[in-house]
Amino acid sequence: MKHTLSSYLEDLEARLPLLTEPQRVEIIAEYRAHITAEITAGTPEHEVLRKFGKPAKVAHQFYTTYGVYEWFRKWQFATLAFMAILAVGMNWYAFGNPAKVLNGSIPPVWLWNLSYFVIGPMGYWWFTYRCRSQRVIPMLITFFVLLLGFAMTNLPMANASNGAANVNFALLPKTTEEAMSLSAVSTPLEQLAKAAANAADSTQFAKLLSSTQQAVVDQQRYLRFDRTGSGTFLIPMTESVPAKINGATVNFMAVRFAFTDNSKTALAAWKRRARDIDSLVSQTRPSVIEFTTGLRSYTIWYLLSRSASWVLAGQYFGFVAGVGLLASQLPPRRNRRRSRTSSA
Amino acid sequence: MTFKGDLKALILAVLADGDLHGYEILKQIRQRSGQVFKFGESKLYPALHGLELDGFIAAEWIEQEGKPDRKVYHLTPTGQGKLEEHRATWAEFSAGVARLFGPTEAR
Repeated sequence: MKHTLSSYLEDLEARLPLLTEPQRVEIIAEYRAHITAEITAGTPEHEVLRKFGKPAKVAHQFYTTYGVYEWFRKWQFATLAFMAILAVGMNWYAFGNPAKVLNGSIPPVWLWNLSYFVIGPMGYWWFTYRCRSQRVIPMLITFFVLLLGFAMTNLPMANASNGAANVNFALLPKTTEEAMSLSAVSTPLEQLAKAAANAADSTQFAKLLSSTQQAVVDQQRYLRFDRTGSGTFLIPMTESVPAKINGATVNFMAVRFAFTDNSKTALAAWKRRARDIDSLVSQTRPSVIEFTTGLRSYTIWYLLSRSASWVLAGQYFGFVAGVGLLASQLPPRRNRRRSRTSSA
Repeated sequence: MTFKGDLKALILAVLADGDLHGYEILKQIRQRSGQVFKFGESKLYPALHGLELDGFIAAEWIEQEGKPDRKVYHLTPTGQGKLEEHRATWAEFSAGVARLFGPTEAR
C-alpha cells in the first residue's frame, strides 16, 4: 500500500501497542515532526516513509518499550507451556485422564477449557505477529473463541426441555448408564436417576422422590426448581467421596429435568421439600453458584467440589480478563484532541 | 569483526552536548560517528521512549511557528550518571581491544 504522510501516521497509530491515548498522540506527533523536518530538508515524502519502514514494523518496535504483549512475545514458548501445563493440570485434577476424552468416556470439557488457556492467546499471538493484520481481526477471532468456550462449557446445562421428562447429564455422564455407574451413588439415587430418565410424568417422579427424600438429604443431595417448573437435581460431591465414572474421578454432576405435568399442588409440595433440603444443605454446603444465562429463563445451578470450582473460577476470570484485554486493544478513536503535556 | 552499537548509549552521548529533538539526535549520531552508525528511524523513537521511561532523559514540547511541534530531549542527572557508566565500560573495553589488536612491541 502506497502511503501519504497522513495515511502513514494513521496506520501507525492504529498499530501501536497498548499505549494510553496521550502516549499514542505524542508518538505520532514526534513522527510527524521528524518526517516533516526531513521533507523540509529536501527528501521526498515517499523516500522518508520508505526509510522509516512499514507502519507495522515501526509499531512493532514499540512493543519492547510499552506493550504487555512484548513480554508474551519474548517469552511466548514459556508462557504457552505454562498455560498448557496449567490447563492440563487443572483439567486432569478436576475431570480426570485426557484419554477418557479421546475414547469418549467423558465429554470434552477438557477441550473447552483449553480454549481459554491456550487457543485464545495463541490465536491472538498468531494473527497479531504472524499475519500482521489489523488488530480488529485477532480481536474478533479471540473474542469468538472465548465466547465459544464459554457457551460450550455453560449452555449445555440449559438444555432441559419442557416436553417429556428429560434428564440431561450435560456436564459429565453422557448416558443414564454412565450416571448410574457413579461409585458414590447409592441405591436411592440410582432409582431416582432411573425414574427421572423413564418417568412418564411428574407424579411418578414425585412418588419416588418422596420415598427417597430422607436418603437424599442424608447424602447431601439437592433439588432445585426454577420458575418454569422444571428443575435441577444436583449431586454435590464431597472431597472425601469423589465420584468415579469408568474409573475417572468426577467432581460434580448435574441432572436436569422438566415436567410434563405442572400441577401447582405437586409443585408447591416439592418446593417445600426443596426448601427443607435447601436449608439443610446450605448449612453444611454453602458452595452453590447460581448462574443465569439471560438467553433462556433457566436457572443453572452448580454445586461443585473445590477443584471444579477452581476451574470454573479460572474460566470466568479468563473470560472477563480476555474481554478486558481485547477492549483495551481497540483502535484509537479518530479526531480527538491532542494532549500537549510534557512527559518529562 | 563488527561491534554492535548500543543505540541508547549513543543517544545519551549526543544529548550530553545539548538538548535535541529526535531528528537532530539521529543526524548527530550519523555525523559524529562519521556515518559508521546508521540506525533506522524506526529504532530511534522506541529507544528514546525507553530511556525516558527509565528516567535517563526527559523531554518537553516546543512549539514552532508554521511547523509541527517538536519534542526536545535532555539528559537527567540519572542519565548523566548512566552515561559515565557507559564511558567507563567503553574505555575499559576499548583499551582491552587496543591491547590485543595493537602492535606487538606496544604490549
